[in-house]
Amino acid sequence: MSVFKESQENDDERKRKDIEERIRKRIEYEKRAFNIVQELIEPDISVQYLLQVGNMIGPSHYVDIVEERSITKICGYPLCNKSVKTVLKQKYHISTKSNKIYDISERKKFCSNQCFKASKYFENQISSAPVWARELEPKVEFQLLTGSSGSIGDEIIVSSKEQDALKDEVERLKKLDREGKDTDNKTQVTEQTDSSISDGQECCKEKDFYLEEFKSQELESNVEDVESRFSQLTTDTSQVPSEIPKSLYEQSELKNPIQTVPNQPTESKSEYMLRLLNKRKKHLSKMSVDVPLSVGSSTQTKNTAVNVLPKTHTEPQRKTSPLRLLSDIIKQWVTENTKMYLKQQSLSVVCASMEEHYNSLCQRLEEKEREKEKLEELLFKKLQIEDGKSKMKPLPGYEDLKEEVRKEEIKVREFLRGNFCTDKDLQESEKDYIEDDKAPVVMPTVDSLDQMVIRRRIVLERLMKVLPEVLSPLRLSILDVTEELRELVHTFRFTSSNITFKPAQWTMVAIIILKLISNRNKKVEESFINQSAVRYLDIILKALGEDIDTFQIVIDNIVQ
Amino acid sequence: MEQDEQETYKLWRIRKTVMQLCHDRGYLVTQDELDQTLDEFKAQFGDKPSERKPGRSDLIVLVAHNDDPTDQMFVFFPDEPRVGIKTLRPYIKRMEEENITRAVIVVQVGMTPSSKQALVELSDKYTLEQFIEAELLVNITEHMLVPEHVVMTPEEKAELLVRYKLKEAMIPRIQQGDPVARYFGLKRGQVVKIIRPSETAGRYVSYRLVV
Repeated sequence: MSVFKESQENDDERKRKDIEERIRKRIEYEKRAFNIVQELIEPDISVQYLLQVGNMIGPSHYVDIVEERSITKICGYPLCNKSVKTVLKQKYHISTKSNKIYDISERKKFCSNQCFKASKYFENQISSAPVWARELEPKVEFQLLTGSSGSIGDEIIVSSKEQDALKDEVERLKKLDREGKDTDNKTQVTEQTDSSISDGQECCKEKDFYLEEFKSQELESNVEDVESRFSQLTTDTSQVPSEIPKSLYEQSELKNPIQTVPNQPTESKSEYMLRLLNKRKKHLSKMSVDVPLSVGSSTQTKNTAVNVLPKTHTEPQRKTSPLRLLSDIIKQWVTENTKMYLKQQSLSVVCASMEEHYNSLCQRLEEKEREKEKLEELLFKKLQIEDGKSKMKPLPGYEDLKEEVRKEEIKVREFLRGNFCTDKDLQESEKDYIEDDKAPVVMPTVDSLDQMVIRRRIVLERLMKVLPEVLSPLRLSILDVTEELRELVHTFRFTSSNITFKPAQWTMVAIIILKLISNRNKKVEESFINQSAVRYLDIILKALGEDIDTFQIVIDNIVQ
Repeated sequence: MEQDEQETYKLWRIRKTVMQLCHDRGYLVTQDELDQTLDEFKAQFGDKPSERKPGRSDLIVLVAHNDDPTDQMFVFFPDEPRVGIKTLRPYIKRMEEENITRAVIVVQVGMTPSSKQALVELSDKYTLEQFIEAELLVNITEHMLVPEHVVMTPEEKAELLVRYKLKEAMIPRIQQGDPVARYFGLKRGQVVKIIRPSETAGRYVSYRLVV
């Protein structure tokens, strides 16, 4: 027991000694740093001394040094011996050159901007660890700043903030300007839709409205009612820009059946399906009235705003069906690549035959090459015999060259406008080329700003939003189609005017695109034969006043 | 002009408080100096501080203790707004020459951290206290809420401990940085007697040990 106690006492004593020693060491280091500060206050500091001593002081010591030096009226930078005679009284310096305000309270301690900068540079290298805890740290190799001019002082943060605010303001105003006249129309639309969609603006009320609809089983009449309301709406807003008013869009999002489900747990699945379809129908019927307008106005905006883009389609007639219109637009998208892509079988199927084909090709190539070599040898001999009388190709005529150059030029121009060129287009745009020599200068597009890329992104985004709705009756998951969808969209050619639809129209577009994909993907094709899919399609097409056959015809028409 | 007037007034107030401080610490200060009016101050030092009439260094005070004339104290008034080590050096030198160990430095704005550290380094040899001018514009001990403090001599302290059978640790404490403790320049281990007026007892006396 006593032995244990003794050893404990010994331990305690040792610990105490340890701590005491540590504290003594700490004090010693602090003292050394203080002495260095005292040294550095004096003028005539050698560079070596400063570099050597830099590791033994902290940033606060350095700040002290600068201050002490400035008190004695010499430049704050230890390596500079100049005296600072004229000290400005003010705290800030307003630079009229750069429109900035500088805090010069620090700068006042130095003889020149350069000393100020060099001093800051040195200060930033000083380790911020306590001076007594640096044994384990690697020593800093100090570097001195020479040459170059420094700044006047610390820039005041306030000024930059204000500038930012000003910039934001300007941006905002610009944006407002750009939106310009459209805004009025838009707000008008939103207000009207707000009032016409249901009795209240809140979606819960809307839900009640739907429920009642079902309970009373007066489906058809109600739908008709809604339809008539929508037609009224569209006639009211004949000047609507093709863009979808955002609030309208949001509302349709809110009405998304998925969100209403938890509130109505008693509803059976078929009922839910029916309701969903009914809503779709409503949207589509609205669309049928709306579509001609949207396309019409889009061409309008195109004419006024963007001259750069060539006219790719003429204004369609107002009375055509919405499905036709959509298919027309999609047909505009379709390029040779799309057709190629769609005709191609899924890769895995093609693979085996491809390989075979490839092998035979290789063989043939090899043979041909051998033949060619022989022929060349022969030719060479002949040439040697003929010697100087070698025959060259006749020089192309100047007119031919001119024509070629012109064609190339048109191609380049079209490319810069963000278009692909087929030969047919070329002829068309050739006319343009001749007609308007004063065509606006088009800057080459940067990848990130490329109109095509942006348009592609917009279309994909929209499609992804509506896809879940469409895919559920098809019993497909989004993974089944994403890749193909992406690839297909990449083959499309968009213009600024033909990628804006209403949400309901986007649903239809998604269906059409899925149908296109089904040409290529077996799984998607099968899913279209599915009973629920057939029913879904049937209901939607009925709402548009079409049937499945015409739909099929339309799809075929697109691909041809 | 206006500024000069203000500055002179300030300097007069400060010097007056400093004189009272010296007096309260037991240094010999003549009654004339304690009662000096603003006009007398102007007559003695001048009234244009902006032209160094008086400069702060002219205000310097040297006082000797009542009991022991060799125990003297300096009061320095540095010219620089912020006092650094460099400013302290001539003062230390002068104290060394005249063999004086005690000084008060009245600074205008403040001291640099390193000069404060220098004061601590010197503390085993010299007793240097620093006051900011603003602290000396009024004499805090004259304030109605500050009770009377009496510094006890070592003998009185010993008697107190014996009489009440106390150990040092049993006395209530007062910090060294306490404004009144600084005013009296108290050191660790000294005891002050605080006398408060009391409604019931007339006078209420308590003691404080400086820590």
